[in-house]
Amino acid sequence: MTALNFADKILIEQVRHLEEAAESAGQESAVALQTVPIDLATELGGQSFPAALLTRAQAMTRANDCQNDIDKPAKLHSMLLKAAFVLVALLGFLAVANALSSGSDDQHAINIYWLLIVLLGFNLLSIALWCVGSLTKIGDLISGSIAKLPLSVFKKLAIGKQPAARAWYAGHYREHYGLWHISTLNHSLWLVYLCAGLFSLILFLSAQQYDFYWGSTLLSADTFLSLTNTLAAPLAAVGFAVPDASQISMSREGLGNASAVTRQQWAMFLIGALLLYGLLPRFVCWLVAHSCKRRAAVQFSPDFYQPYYVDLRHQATPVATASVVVDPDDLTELRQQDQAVNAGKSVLDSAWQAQCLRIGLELVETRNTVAIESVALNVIDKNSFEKSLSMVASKRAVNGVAVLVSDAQAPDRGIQRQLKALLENNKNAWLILLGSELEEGSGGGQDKQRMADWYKAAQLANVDSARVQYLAKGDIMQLASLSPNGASL
Amino acid sequence: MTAAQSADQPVINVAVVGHTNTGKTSLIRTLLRSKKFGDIANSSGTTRHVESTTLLADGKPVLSLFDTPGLEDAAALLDLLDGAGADNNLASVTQFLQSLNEHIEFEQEAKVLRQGLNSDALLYVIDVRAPLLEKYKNEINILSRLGKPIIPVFNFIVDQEQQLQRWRDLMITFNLHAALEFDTVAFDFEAEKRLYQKLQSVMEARYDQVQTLIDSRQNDWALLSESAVHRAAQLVVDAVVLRVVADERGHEILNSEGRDSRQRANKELQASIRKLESKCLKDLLKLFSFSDDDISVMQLPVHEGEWQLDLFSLDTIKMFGLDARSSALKGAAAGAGVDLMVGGLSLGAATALGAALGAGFSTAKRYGKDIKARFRGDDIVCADDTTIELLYLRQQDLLYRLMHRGHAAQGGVSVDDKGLQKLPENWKEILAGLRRGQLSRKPSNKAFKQSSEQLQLALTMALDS
Repeated sequence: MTALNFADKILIEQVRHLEEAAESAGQESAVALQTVPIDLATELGGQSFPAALLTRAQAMTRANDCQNDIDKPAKLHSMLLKAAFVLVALLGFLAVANALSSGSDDQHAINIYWLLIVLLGFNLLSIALWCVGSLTKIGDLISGSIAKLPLSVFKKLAIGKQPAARAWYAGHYREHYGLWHISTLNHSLWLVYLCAGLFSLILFLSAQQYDFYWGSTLLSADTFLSLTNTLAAPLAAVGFAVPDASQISMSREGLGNASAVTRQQWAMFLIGALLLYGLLPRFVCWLVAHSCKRRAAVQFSPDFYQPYYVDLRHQATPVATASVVVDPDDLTELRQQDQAVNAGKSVLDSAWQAQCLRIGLELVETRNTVAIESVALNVIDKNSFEKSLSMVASKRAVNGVAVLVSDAQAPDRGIQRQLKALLENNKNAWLILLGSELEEGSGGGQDKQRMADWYKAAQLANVDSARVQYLAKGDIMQLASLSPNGASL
Repeated sequence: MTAAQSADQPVINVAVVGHTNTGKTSLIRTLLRSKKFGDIANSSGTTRHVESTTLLADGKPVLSLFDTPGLEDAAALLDLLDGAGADNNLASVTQFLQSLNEHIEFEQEAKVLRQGLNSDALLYVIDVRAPLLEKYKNEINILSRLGKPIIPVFNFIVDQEQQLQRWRDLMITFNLHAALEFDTVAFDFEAEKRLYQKLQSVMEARYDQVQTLIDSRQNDWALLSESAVHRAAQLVVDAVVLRVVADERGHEILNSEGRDSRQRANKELQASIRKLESKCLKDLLKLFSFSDDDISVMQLPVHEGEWQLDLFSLDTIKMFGLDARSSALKGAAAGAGVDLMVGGLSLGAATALGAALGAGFSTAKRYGKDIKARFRGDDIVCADDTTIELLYLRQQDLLYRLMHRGHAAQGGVSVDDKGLQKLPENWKEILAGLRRGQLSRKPSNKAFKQSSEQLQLALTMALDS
């Protein structure tokens, strides 16, 4: 499984930004995107989630024809960088020209160390700061300053409100990768600058004759001698012809014209110094920064904890299959033909209280204490049900039967069967629905569907809808004054 | 066993059975973390068919759940089975199923029994609020005849300790010891794990297969939780770094509504923070697959995707137990603080250091606006500590509700969140680190990164406790 490269990861992020921007803009917006589903399966087998994201990102780009938006920031960036390189090359050329003209008098005599400071001073200071920054992890010192100028221009021109450009910029110029990317760019610009400067120097030295001298107010001749020998030693080791001690001494300011050999050796010293103390360390820094950048590119990853990616992951690896009906309800049509019984308006009629035998059906102590005490029997199992059937068949039920149920329970078929057995043969049958004795207005009484179910159950038990009563808390309390057989206590 | 190996084994079939309206369909919805399964209603007999869905582990099917119709008349069915004169309990069931045409009123129960016979285990769902009536014993009696392992699942267990114990005792009389508490409304992921572990205990041969499912669900939940924490922490961080410059030159110039520039900046800041919070809310809801309907029953003060309780009102501040005085002292600028003090100190130091090290361009770029503001005497307005604390507490509370809410819940449920209205012990340290990072505005800033990570850790620990 090939790991994603940096460009692929950026593409994934760009598509994310495009989708999120489209979602924020809303469905009515013209920027609505055609969505492509994510799929972990391929012709060769499964692929990882990042690979599936890449496949999807590529498909999204094709489907929505936004390759141009995706590529635009990279193209603009490349253009700006080329312009920046041309500019710094020009600056390098001009810097040497300026240094040579400002460091020399009318006879083309150049102060060698002044020239070295001008050409290499800032470069070495910059490298020193970069080294300090790399060791101490100070971001501003690592990234340097020069590269940020073209980046500012790029940011102004390219980013704006373009989501794909924002994503491209964020990926390339933020976090760890961004730090080393800017650093590499910085070194690249310096390298171009130094190369152009070196080229310019060689050109000038080839076309003009320059005498080189050195001089100081504070430092002694011995100091300059040892300094030059120290600087020249590595150059000599790699084959540069550098001035010897006498030539160095003879080049002190005011001591007269140097020979052609001395001039040449000073020129080689200058070129060698530019190469060894300018270009080479800068190149080494570039190599280090480039290596860090490559490592950062491998480590870079979109933030898969973003809700966007979590959502895609769930789409790619759903937790379950779509549901399937394996044993359908064959009687659906018949049931749909059954009209729902409308819950009639319950007119409180307390006639049943005085006359009827009261039977409770699965009343619960926690909810219907008063009601339980007011009934002749509470049916909770087979034995009590058979007893209730006997009571209903006896003389005790001659004036009617009222079955009390809690409205908190749904009338399942078992309850319907029991209701039917208790009530269908009695002409004065009542179904009493009890609300909670604890809270007013709670329970099934508030639920229209539940009430309709109870009316349906009553219908199946041959109980007229007018004989279905709902008792709220206050009415239930009155039951306490009744004896279970119907008479008042 | 890997997911690939488990793919070679047949899928485990588990029938979800129980009396009508006990929460069988709800249980499956909660496990799926989706409302797109079955129908739920207050009526008995809502589910009248057998519907199945299969849980996947890394894309491979592992466990099929079968939602069955409710058992409604176990007493009559038991009489029928006992009266059939079969040789044994299982035979009584098969005989009944073969002669179903003669007893069509038990068609629903027949579906349950048929599915039970074709399953590897049964989850018997119990509404613990219901009284311990004989009909439930009849149901267990009937289900036991199928010869399959039965796991009682206690539902609606919140504030039902006594009832729960009664039901446990009842299950023990039937030798059903591997019972599980699983509230489909007040969801707990650990309970889901225990459900699968109970299945492992009754189906030893399929232990590894179920383990792949547990591992997959665990990873999925961990990703979800971490992503949510990450997102909520990001909101807090974004709010901390948000700053608005109040142009003091306009201080004496009043607009037509009589507001000065400082108030304008405050309003702009507040609007920005509200927008950030709203976006975070949308992301979190999407993450947990909740809809707007779920919000209304979660008792979250949210309407049409927007928080109803204003972040910057003193009532909201008091509700979360924060000190409202600091905001009140700032008058109408509740929610915003002035950044001059902190900005000034580090600003000067950074400017000096930056200039000395030659990073002048970066310094000017980063601090340019601030330097200009200082020079002109403008205020830099940012969210004050109370606002950040409130944002944090609100997201913490929201995350807790989202992570403990089953997708089957239909009614309003109060989630005890009093314990979550508490800032982490190292809150001051976290906030200080974020404020320092606010100045550099660079994610690579060490203190900032550390504080962001501490913030996420604090959220995670609060939610785990």
